[in-house]
Amino acid sequence: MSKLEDSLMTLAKPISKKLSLGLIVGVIILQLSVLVVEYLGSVWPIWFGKPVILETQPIDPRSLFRGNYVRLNFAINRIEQAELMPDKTLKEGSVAYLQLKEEHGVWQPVGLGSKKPDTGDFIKGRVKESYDEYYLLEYGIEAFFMPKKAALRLESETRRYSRFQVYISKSGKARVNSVLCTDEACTIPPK
Amino acid sequence: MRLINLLKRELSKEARDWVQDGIISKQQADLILHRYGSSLEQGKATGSFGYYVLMSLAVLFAGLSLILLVSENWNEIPRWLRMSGLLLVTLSANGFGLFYFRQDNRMAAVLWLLFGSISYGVSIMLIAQIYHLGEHFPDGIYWWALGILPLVVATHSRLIAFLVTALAFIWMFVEAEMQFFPLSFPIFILVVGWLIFWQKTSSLLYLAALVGVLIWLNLALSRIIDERFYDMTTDMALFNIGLGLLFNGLSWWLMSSDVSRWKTYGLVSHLWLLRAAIVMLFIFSFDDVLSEFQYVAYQSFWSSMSFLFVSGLAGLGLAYGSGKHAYLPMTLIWLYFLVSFSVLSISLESATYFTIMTNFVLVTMGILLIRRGISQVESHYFYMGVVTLLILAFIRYFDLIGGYLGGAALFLVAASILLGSAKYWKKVQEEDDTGALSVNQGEQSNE
Repeated sequence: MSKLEDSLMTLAKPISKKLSLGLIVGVIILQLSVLVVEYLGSVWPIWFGKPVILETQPIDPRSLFRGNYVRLNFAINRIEQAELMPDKTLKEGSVAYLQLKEEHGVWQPVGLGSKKPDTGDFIKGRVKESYDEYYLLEYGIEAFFMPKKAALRLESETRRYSRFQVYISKSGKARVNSVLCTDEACTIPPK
Repeated sequence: MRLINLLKRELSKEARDWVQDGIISKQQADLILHRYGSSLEQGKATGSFGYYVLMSLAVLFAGLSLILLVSENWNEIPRWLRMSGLLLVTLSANGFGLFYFRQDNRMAAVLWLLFGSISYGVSIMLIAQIYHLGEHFPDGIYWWALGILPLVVATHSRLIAFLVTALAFIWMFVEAEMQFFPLSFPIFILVVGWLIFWQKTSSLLYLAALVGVLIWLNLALSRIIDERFYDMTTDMALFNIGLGLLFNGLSWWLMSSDVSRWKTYGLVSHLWLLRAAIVMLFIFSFDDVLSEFQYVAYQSFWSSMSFLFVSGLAGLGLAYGSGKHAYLPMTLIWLYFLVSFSVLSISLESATYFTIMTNFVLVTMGILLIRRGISQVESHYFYMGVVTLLILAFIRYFDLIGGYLGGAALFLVAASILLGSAKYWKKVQEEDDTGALSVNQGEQSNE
């Protein structure tokens, strides 16, 4: 056996039972921590955030692990650059803050930037794609999980648009909470 | 290293039969099997093994059932009940695993921990479903794989390592598909590598790890070259040929090692790399493939060529000690690609000449494989060589290079090479036989 093989074979030393037990306990704590952090990250905007109403169009696909959902294509997913950010450009993958203002009961975009605004309502997102005329942004609220029949019904009932209630925390992190209305059922007229 | 090393269980079974029939003694059987890194006990069909396999499959099926059950989205059940229910299942399964591990009942411990691992992943997905998390979903798969990774070290279980590897692969693919680079993939491969190289034997996990490393390196290079999209450009092709040569050299090095499982791994990867090399040569043997490469911009051609040069040299260095069967085909492929791509970079019109050359390289590879198969009494290589030559003849008969006359000339030259090799081989064989005969006669006269 060569010297290299000899030194490599030191890795073959078996792990003690005590260490193995410690590792399993560590795994249980790690898994619990991951689930708690994921849970708190999910509920934080709902517990402490402000509810806003956003317009969207739902489409129904299926996730391999999470079941059926409606993909929400919010009006704020596509932002015209000239309108909200005339001089600056955001890179693909970068964090962006979209300022929102209520108009007739629905929150509309009023400004876009890479820095967190000091005042007003805003939502934190990420630039998915960047074009000359517009940005495509994602806010982590684009999926709404429902039983298959309900998801298909919502998609078929929505001919033009629907409105969803979304909670936004102080940091701009958002969680979609519920569907409010679709098409004519929405008493507030669209912009 | 001989292919019989891949049939250790079968060899062990045969040896047990010979011992039972009184043909050889138990000690002799053990001595024979020791040569192949096996023993009389290895591969003994035990009831517990069958039980373990069926139980593992049952756990897997139960896990899949749990995923689908959660996917149904039980809106009518309160959130807290759904969440605490699944959390309880996860904690209980892991708790049972810990309990059985303490009792030294490894089999039961691994099965419970496997179920706990699946349940943990389902819990991540359930929270994402309940709170409609539309964020980058590969993160969920990543935390699932990472959350069960230490169990591989703690339990030395190949079953859990399979689950980790599968999740790591899914994560790598979805991450790359969404234009993100799976930077942490090697962490999973390192842990699985530690298990299969130093603790347990699994050729399947070894192959998966090897393929994973190759894909990850390709994605990394693609990121360096283009930043966003993966495309098999000339640079990537050269890079992969270089990697193939390097890994083949490593395979030969592993085969020459004293560690039985390393020998097996070396043989497994060598066989697959050999097949991949032949498939790649077949791809380059078509008229329009090399021409296609002319239209691709050589973005980092000389760095790719340098990589091919250095990795090929390193591979040859590693394989050199294993003899000419090891380094001769490697040298052939290495020099061929170095020369052909260098000339192609200067003269784009030379593509057709190299296509013709590729066909002759394939003929030579076929001859070398047949020669190796016969001299080492390994039918696998012999038939691989024969099949290579027959497929080449079949393809070139239909896909003509240079029309009917060009095709005829190609077949004629290939026939001459085969004829020349056969004559040379016969001559060498006769010389060997004469040498052996004179040695025998010498020994007899001495007696």
